[in-house]
Amino acid sequence: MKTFFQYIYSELKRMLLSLPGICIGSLVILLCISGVLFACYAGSKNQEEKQMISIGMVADENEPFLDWIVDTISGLEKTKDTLNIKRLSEKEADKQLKKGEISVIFIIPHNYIYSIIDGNNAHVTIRFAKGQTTVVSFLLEQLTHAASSFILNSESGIYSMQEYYKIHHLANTDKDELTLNLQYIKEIAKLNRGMKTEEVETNVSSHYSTAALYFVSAIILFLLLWGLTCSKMLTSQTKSFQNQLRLRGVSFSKQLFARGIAFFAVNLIFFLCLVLVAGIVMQKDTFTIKNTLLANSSGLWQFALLLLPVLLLTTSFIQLVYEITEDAMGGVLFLFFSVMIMALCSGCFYPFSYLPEIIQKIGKCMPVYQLCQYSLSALYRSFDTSALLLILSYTVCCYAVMLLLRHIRRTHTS
Amino acid sequence: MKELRTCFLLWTKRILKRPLFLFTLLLMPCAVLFLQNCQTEDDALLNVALYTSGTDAESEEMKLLSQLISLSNRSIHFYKCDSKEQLLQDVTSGYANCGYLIPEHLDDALQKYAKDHTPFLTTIRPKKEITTNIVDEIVLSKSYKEISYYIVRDFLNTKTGNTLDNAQLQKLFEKHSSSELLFQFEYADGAQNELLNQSETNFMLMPIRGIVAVLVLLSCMSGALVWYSDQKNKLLLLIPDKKQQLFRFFSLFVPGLFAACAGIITIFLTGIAENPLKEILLMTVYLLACISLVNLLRNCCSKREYFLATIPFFLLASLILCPVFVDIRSFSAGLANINKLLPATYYLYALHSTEELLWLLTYAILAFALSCLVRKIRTSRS
Repeated sequence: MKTFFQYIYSELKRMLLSLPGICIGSLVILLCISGVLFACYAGSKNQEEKQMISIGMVADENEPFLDWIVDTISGLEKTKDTLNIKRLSEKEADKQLKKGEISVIFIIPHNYIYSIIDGNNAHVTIRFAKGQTTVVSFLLEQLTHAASSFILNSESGIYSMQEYYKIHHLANTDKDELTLNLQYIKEIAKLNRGMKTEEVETNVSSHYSTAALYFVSAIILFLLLWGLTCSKMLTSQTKSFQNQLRLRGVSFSKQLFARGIAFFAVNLIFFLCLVLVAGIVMQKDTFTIKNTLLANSSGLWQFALLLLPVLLLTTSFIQLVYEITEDAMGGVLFLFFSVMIMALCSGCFYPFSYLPEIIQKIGKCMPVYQLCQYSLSALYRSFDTSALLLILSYTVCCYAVMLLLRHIRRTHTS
Repeated sequence: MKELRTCFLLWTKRILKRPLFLFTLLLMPCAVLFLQNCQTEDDALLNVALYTSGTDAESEEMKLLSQLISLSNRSIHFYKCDSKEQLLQDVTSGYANCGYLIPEHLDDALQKYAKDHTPFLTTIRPKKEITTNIVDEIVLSKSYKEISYYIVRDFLNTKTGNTLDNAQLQKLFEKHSSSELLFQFEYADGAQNELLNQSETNFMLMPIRGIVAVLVLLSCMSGALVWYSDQKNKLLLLIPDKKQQLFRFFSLFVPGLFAACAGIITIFLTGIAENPLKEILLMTVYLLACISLVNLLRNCCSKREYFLATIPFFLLASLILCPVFVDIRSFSAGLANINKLLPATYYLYALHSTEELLWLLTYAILAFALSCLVRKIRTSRS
């Protein structure tokens, strides 16, 4: 037993030797990033327009009805607080699209309205920024089908009216056509009157705010990816050293356990430093999440205490990865890739409900998902016992796998 | 040339002796193949439940139901519920993002709406749910053909004093009906956006390119870790300093090259790849930029621990600030300026912009020049 504690102490000392360098480097970078984020956050608070989606519209100066259409769309109940449409020249629009000041450009072709009126139906071009196609682009594409339907079915009505008037030699064609046109435009603008909405309460998880979801995901990912700095701490000892320890009464399981305790202690020190820095930043700035423990800075330490099981599993997982790979290069890559896959399947990047059903089933079994669920419940002052039990089970599983690996390697070499 | 070849072969052998490194690189295309095949017909961004109490297959409500269900794709999946209670349960449990109750005798309801704007559809959605507002427009657009007909019919009834020839009007309306798409999509460089035209594109694979970019950067960084170990073990002590430069370069180049090759294969497997030559050119320039950045970090960080500390921050910054999952410029222009310090930003923007490709090349050259300067300062001080 004495040798066991001596081994824990020596591992702790060895890991602590690496910690200051990693800590100082991490904290310097964290402070720089926090400072920059604070400056950007303070700056963006003054820009109310940034909350709205900005769309650029490029069209001829004398394109009829376009200003009226833009005013009407901008004034709709659903869009007035979320959409900002700007009429720009193509050059200016491309410039703003490049800078990210507008999300997308609608390019209205020459004589567009007249082409709609006489049935030639010129196409509007929607120009995206030079980045990748995103989920939002797909949903916008669906909207364009709806918009096309509104325009074309209104055209059917107007052309039918024109032809009916012609066949039956009815008077006032132009005047009535204009009246019908205006009626259609009003109908399209207020078509949502055709829908009655009933709101329902849903299960607890969807009560979590998006900010809280992404905040918790960021913490979990950071704790896991911090394992990328720990390759030196968790380098495998030589086989002869392991055997020497075993001969002195420190079995392989105790060696792994001792290493785990030392690594957890080192991570705890780093975690406490981070919480301290976060506390200082929270006091300087008004970063809070409403209705949670982080509604004020005093709840931060309570939240940090509740996150200790999270720290336990993340340290166990990191130790497992380096135990599997036995090598810094492979370990770093394998850790990153495994964390990315788990995070993708656990809804850290996309909302969980967006994922295919089979991925949702797999995701629920993944440690990252349970870590997020537990952390969210802790943040919202409830206590997810099942998630906590699963976290503890995963921790035990990590150690079991590590033991099995050592046994297999020992059997293989002997 | 012989030295280059020898150095390259040595480093390649070192990499090949690390099976877990290669295994992880192989996992990338395997993961993509799995994600591609795990999506069933029923999987989509938004699940929308539909219910109608009508049973007549020829009725308007059943036609609307069938039309909406046939519209299902990877973005929105419409499905039929057997009862109103099931629809409510699906929305409450979160299985469906929202639901629509289509009334029996929809035709009468649409006519009534055209006259006095009485609502004809009921939507059930969670409180504060806004993403599904987009579905309202799609559902309304499918009912709009009938509404449009009733509008013109009522208009003509008023003008003709109720002597309207309904059958003739209906024939004329069908004659002028059309269902073409009046919009086309393109990127900033004028290239057509083909992805949006493919209804089966898997949105989950969209960020793969960004993840591949981050993985290439990480591979170069892991190569630098090996260099630190070599330095500590004095492995290259007997090799002249000038030849050591080759080893320095290949320590970053070879792991990056392996990751880049695996990345290119992965991107092509996802189906989001552009022209092959363009992809290879982009990846080559990006690899050079990563090598320059990692070399600069390595020269700035005398100790391995300091270099290790930079790894998670560069990775997280690349994942969050670069347009891997979302374009940060939508949220903050300030943050958008920070992402210019990361090579992945230029790589992802350069996909549809030659200007950004030139910026990526400039970044590689600047980072390399800076790293040489830092190394010279350090060497002169020591």
